[in-house]
Amino acid sequence: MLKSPKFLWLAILVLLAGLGFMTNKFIIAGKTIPSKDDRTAILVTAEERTMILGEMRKFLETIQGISEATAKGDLETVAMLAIDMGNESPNVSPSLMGKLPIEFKSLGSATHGLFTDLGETAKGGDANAVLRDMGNLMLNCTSCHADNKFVIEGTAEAKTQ
Amino acid sequence: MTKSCKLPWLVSLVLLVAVLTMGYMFLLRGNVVASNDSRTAIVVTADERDLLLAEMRGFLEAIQEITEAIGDADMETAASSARAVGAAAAQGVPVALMGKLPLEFKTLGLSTHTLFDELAMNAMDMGDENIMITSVGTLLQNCTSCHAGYKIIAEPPVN
Repeated sequence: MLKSPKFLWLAILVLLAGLGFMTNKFIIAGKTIPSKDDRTAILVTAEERTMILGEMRKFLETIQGISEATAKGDLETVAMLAIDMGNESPNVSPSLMGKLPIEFKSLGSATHGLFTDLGETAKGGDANAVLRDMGNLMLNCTSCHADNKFVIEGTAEAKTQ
Repeated sequence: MTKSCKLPWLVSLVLLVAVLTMGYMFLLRGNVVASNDSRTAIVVTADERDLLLAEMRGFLEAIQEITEAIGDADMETAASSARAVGAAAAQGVPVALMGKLPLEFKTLGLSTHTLFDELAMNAMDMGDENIMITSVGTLLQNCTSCHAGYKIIAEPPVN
């Protein structure tokens, strides 16, 4: 067997360190700073913030539609609204993805999954089970809002967190 | 009309205009600017923004608890969660902040607190799950229309 040159091992070590650093920065940590209201401030551009808040308003509107349809006993509409939202995949740019901490990404993805689960529950025809699923799904909303906020990078607000 | 009679009329007119202007500014219009996402931006201080957003998170948490409680047919929990964000909870809003909020926003906010109180009463008096989930739907309509129409932005801090 040929002896590997030492510099190759060194290169592998440097590349591994780089990969670890980038994984932490862009996949795990995101672009965040602590906020004075005990939440984590995620720093994004104004357009990215508008996009994310728009996505959240879609969640809220879907939950409103589900409540209204459940009250009318229209579980078919509930299933349709929930499954549509479950299938929706927001167009998040790689740059924005890199700014979102892993907990936020996991919660967002889990919330879409919970909408799909709720849709399946609705197909079973049990309104109370739908409400329990909705309560469970909304725990994702409350915990995410309790822990995170979006702040526009470079603004005075970002500097006074 | 004598000259001495004209002065009180003039003063009254000026005062009336001032009262109407202030009423319009602080009761109807609020401190608002147009926003590039076709919503209305309400301009407040950073602390006032934190207060308003915390209040909204309180609404969201209450709706989550109420929904789960209705699903479990636990009317007592539904009532206590609703009462916690009822009209009594709206008393702590500072007057200065009230002046910055447009009338429609204030009306929506107050009606939301009142709807929570009604929901609490329904939970205790009737305990009808269908009526309650209808109320949750109505409440959420207030949330969606307010979020679709408004955003709260912080004015730059004064140095």
